[in-house]
Amino acid sequence: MRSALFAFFLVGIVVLAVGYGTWAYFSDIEVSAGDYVTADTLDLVLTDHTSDANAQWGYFYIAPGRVPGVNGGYSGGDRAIHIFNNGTYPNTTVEIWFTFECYEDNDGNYTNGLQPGPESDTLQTNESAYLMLNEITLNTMEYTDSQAVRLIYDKKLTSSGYDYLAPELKSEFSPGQEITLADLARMKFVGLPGPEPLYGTLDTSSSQYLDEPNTQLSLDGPEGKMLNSSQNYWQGDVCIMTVHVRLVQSEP
Amino acid sequence: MKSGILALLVVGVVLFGLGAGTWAYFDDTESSTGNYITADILNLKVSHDNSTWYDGTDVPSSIDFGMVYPGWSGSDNVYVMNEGGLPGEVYLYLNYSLDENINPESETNGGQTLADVIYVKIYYNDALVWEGYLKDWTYDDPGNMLDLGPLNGGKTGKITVEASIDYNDAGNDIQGDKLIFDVHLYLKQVQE
Repeated sequence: MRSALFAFFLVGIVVLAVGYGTWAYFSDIEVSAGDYVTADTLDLVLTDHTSDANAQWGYFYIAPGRVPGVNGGYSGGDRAIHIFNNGTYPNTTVEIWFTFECYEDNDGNYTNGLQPGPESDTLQTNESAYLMLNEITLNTMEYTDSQAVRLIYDKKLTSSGYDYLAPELKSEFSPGQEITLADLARMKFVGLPGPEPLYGTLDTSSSQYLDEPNTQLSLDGPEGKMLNSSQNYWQGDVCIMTVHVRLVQSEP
Repeated sequence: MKSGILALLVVGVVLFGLGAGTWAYFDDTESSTGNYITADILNLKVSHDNSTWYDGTDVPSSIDFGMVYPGWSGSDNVYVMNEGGLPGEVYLYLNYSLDENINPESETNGGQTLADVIYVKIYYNDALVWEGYLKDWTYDDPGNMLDLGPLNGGKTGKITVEASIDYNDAGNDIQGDKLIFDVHLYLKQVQE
């Protein structure tokens, strides 16, 4: 830092000195124009079987012991979001993490408004809604690029999944550990192989991209754990999951 | 001259600072949001008439057989509803207490009570699930409940209580006696 400051200082002195020196007499300058330096780009685009990746997963009316039906795209489609690099830089990695927002509700139907209840719900607060995350396991999470990597399988963190965990989180998890949505909220997967660049050619309305992605993240099989005690505190509650995907330039 | 050098120095420092923050590497973040995970409910409701439904522990009493006597019989219905989409099983337990209430001159004191002579039949959806004299009733606490049967999500069920006193069983001992009972209904989720 000190040497950099000194360098700037020197450059200033030289520029000033040159200025004083050259304005004293006639001079002529020629210019070579049209020489370009352009930067590569990283342009991450997410889709599912539609042109945007929102509202891909809907697991409705989950309960202790229940695995809700697949609601990819809520009514149909696959269980994955598709990950594209519409930029030009080829050497990238992907990071993935999850956040949740939970709300108290009386019927598990967020479209008719959020109301506390029902009477049998023993904790009717937004804070209690987060408790459902502790009692819902995730069966499978898979990242597919040139090959499929199982990060979570059979409700457990795989060895591969552990390898891709952010280094600062490795001490909090171990391979073979049962993974709940509350665990997922604390996880961050890094260093996953990034998608090939598409140089701006991505057409998100094209079925080729929507249906045949090269890189995708799939997850499935949330299941309410059945405990030996009452779990009434998360009856009818609602959680919204956000999947964050980051495309990162690797070191050249 | 001095101020020119100072200006260059300041520009250099600023550029250096900017570089350290933003020129480290390229990255881009996008999100998939609006992904919902919602929970189902299992909520028991009770009705006297299959029309007005009560929720909670303050359901008004509905079973009142009025005055009973040797040779009497009566019946009453209670309806249950499973609000939600989960399959459940309905259980019942009942506590009762005896009150001598009034003691007319004609009442004898041979040790017989109303519970000894009232014969009870309990039906769930018209299928008999228990019968016997009330004195033999043992399902009287949450740890020992009578399993009535299944009640699927969104469905209703009917509990019928029939009671009778045989003309030849009862004597003057039960005159003026009063039985008070609390009925507890419990719905438990069953694994699909």
